[in-house]
Amino acid sequence: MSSKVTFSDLVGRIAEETGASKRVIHDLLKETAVVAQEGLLRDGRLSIAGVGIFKLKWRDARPGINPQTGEPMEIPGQNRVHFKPEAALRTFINRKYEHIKPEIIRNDSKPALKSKDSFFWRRRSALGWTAALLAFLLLMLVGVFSLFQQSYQRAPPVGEVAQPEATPRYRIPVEELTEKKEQIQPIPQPDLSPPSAGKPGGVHNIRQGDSFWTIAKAFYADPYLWPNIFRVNVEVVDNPDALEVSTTIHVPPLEGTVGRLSQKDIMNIIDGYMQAYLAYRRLNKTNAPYYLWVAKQYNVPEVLDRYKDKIHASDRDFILRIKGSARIK
Amino acid sequence: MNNSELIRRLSERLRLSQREIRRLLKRSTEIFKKTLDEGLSFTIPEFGTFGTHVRQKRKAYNPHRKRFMMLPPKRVVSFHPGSALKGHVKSQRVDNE
Repeated sequence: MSSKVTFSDLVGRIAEETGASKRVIHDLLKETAVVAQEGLLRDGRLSIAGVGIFKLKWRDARPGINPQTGEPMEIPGQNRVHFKPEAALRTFINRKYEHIKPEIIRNDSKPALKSKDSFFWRRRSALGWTAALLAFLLLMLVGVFSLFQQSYQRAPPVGEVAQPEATPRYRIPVEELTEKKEQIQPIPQPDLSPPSAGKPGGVHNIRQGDSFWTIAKAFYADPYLWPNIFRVNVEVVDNPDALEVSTTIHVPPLEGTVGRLSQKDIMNIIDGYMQAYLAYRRLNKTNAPYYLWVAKQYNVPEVLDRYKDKIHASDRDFILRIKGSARIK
Repeated sequence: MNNSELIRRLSERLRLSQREIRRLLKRSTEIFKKTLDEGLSFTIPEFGTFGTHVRQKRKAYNPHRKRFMMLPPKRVVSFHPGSALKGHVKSQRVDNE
């Protein structure tokens, strides 16, 4: 165990810190021991703030052997003092190791354990990243290369076209097209381009883990457009936060694309946000007014007018108090 | 016995105000904490010894998820009751739940 501080040193330290005399501190600690014993005997438990909880745990009598004579005997039941340091003390003492998390051991076979000690295993995360980076660079190279090739090969057809009657003219573009297709494929576009616009719309069957948010992300590539889906499913969905598994919901298509929405899309989305507001208001959720606020931020009063009677006066006041918001009638 | 009762009893026995006892105890526990953090152990006579030690990292099995994991090392506070305390509380069974 660790090296020790003698009791008198400890008393000295505390006396210095508190400004009380050594005698007082000495008595205090001694008396604490006496009172602690008293408390343990009376209640079986004792808590000291800043230290922890001491508890008596009864250990039942158990058979044993007298080590001197080898005779079987019964070890009588007795109390054991159990100490649990309080949480603050535990975390403080353990702070050096606190950041280390338990690590899952994938394979329990011997070789896996052995390979754990190797350089590559210890550096596996760094190696993984390096490998990913290398693969990415390689893809980029291939992409750039094929682009070059493409522009290089695009030139000859012009020459070919110029050649009279050697090949029928209409076939040349076809060849060019197929060539192009083949060459475009290796370009690592998925790595560079932002997520695609997603599916145009349709029907979705709710599975475990689905939410309007994830569905909007999958279909529109923009989860914030979820009220647009909720809008057309008001009849089947009561609470937009809790979808029932195996419900079929309709996902309306967007006229424009995300980032270039048409006027009708925007009207629909505002309508969606209003529906979300009404649903949350009906469920008495505190986030309801924020949906009203979003709907209003689009600044298309015609849609809001349609819901004029259903907007709560308190919510109207609430969103007016949000800084930087447009005026509402 | 809880902390406030401990303080009350101590103030009766030492003829000091509860406020003073509370302050002294608080500062004492701070010193305890500091001493333990320095890796030192200390003994309070008739009570026991406090210290710290490092539990090495170890392999453990999670029976629910059926997999092995390596638990990180941990530094813990230990308390060993002194023989006087052990002897006193040994035989009397108390219901403390």
